[in-house]
Amino acid sequence: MNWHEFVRIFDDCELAGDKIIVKSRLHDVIEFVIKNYPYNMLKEIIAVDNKDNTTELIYHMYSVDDEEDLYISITVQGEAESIVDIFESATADEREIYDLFGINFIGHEDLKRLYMPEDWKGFPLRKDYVQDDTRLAWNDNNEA
Amino acid sequence: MTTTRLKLNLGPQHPSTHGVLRLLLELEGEKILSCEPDIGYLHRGMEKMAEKLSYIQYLPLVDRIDYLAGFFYSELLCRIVESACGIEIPDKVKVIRVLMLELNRIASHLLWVGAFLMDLGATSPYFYVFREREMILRYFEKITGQRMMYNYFIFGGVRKDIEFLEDVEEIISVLPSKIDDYEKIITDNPIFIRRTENKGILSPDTAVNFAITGVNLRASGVDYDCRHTDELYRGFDFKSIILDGKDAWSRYKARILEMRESINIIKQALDYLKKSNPLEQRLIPPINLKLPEGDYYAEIEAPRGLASCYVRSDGEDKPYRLKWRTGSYYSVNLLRRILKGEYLNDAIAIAGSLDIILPEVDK
Amino acid sequence: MNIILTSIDYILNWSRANSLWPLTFATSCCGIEMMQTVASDNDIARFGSEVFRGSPRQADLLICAGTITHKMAPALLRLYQQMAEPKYVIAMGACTCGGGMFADTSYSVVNGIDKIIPVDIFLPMCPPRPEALIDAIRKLQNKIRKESVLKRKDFVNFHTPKLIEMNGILGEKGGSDELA
Repeated sequence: MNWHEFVRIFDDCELAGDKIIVKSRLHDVIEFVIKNYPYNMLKEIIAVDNKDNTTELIYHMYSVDDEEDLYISITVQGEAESIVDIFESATADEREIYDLFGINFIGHEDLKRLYMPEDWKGFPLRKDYVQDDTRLAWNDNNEA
Repeated sequence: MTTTRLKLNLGPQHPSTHGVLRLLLELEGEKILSCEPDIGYLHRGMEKMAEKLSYIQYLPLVDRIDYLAGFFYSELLCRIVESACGIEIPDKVKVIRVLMLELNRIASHLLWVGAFLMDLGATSPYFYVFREREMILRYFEKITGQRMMYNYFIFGGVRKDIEFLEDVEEIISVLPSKIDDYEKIITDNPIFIRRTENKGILSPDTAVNFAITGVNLRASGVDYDCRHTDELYRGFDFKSIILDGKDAWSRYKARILEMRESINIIKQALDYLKKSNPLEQRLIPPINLKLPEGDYYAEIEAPRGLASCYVRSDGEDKPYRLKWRTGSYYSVNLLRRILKGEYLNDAIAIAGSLDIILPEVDK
Repeated sequence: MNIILTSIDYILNWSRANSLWPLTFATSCCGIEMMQTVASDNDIARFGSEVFRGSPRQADLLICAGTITHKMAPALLRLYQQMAEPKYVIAMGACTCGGGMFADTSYSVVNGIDKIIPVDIFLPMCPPRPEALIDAIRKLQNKIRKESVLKRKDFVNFHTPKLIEMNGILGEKGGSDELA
């Protein structure tokens, strides 16, 4: 595929094989990609916690017609742009990442806990997660 | 007369939500105005557990991600480790794996048929499908020693050579006539047709936008089956089932047809295995197994849609990050859209037709 | 007095043991084996327990089939409290007996339902075979046949975990009102 136009507009992006490393303007990048290239499905959003307080988000896009994958990667700190207006499936993914990593997606209207109870303490999939919710005391409850 | 809107809570303990799904419905009369799925009642923290366990310790756990199709998830983890170690598995192992996967797919779809018909209020198909499913489970037990959590695939091959092929022969000779029987009872049954035809319409665009995969997507007329590009299925002659009904009935029919297609694949695998030599495989030593630094990705066509596994390794004996993608997770998300404007009595039928399994959603 | 109590016990226990109505409480993997137990090959109806009820008010046996997480625990306690006396609990599967594979490694799994509700029969294995579930029901029936009305209360009191004082999450009603 021809990426010249893309590189011209988003000059701070790096292209590496089927992976695009984005520094900023994630929403615009994805909007541009789906408008000009045949990618039409967001298979998943993968979040990886780097130990230096940043999180890498990998948007795994797919073209159903051309059977091609594309990964768009961005490193964020605490908050990211939401893409729910482009892909409805991102609602689920973004809530999951909010729940497990504590990333705040700006523009996502229904951002709340997904897996864990509403009042759970901490974000479990972060590397620095300490299990200290009061509920965990049930596990040590041996007096019966 | 004034009507007020009613908030109805379905679940998490509800006989027809297939586990611990909770739906918050807003109703006006019988009509659903909005639906909000609440999940997480079975969130077992599979992804975090991977970071605490070595690869071989984690392998038995992955069967629990989808208890109806455990083989698929074992296969994904094995594939990740094999690709990272650069090991090419022998042809016979590939065929054994295909045989097990397809039998597993049939067992999973059979259970779905029973559960779906139970949702619609028909009890007898439930007893029929469990009879046939039991045949497959007995065979799995003979080979792997377990009825549901197999832990049979291992890095570089399978735990032991395949045996009792005559059992598989019996299964595939009996199954087609049994599926004919189901079709006689169900497919053209006027009550069944009324309850499923044109219910839960899923247009191709919506399906793709919601990242729906698997049978649900193919029943909406989109041709996407990653088995065709899968290395494991190379050399097998099969076609994927594409229907363009877009409704609950098509999703039912597609699963029935897919079972028949799986029998077709199993026949080819059997022909190969009957002529093959005893198994020779080179297993990857699991003790102190370290994957080279980097990102690994594997995907497979599971019964409930595309399943994939992403692993980032930092060179240690445990994954740095492991992420599962499961088909049902996105189907649950779709409920928000697909139930809107439908009637309450159709809601269970539509949700059931998407084949949602909760451990797969919650991970 | 004792003679009267013994004969009352005999009649009550005979009727209770032979008509255990389980609650459909299938949270995960073990639920499928529970379905298999109901289905044709194993047929739980032979032992008088085929009447699976959707509502806890109508059930007197809670077969807890599958992992209980911290989010599900209030619902489990609530369901147990909603059941009418006499009520019995079978903890089916390794997860409900002590956390199973998830014990201590997972942040969200409760290490056994005996931390939340009193349990009569523990049935380990992951998952138990249908035959094992039938065996557990038979063992429970034997237990019911031998018990006395007065001693049952002591048993339940002794085995009820002291959850409520421990933290404020499970109130006396057991969980929030939304979970019904």
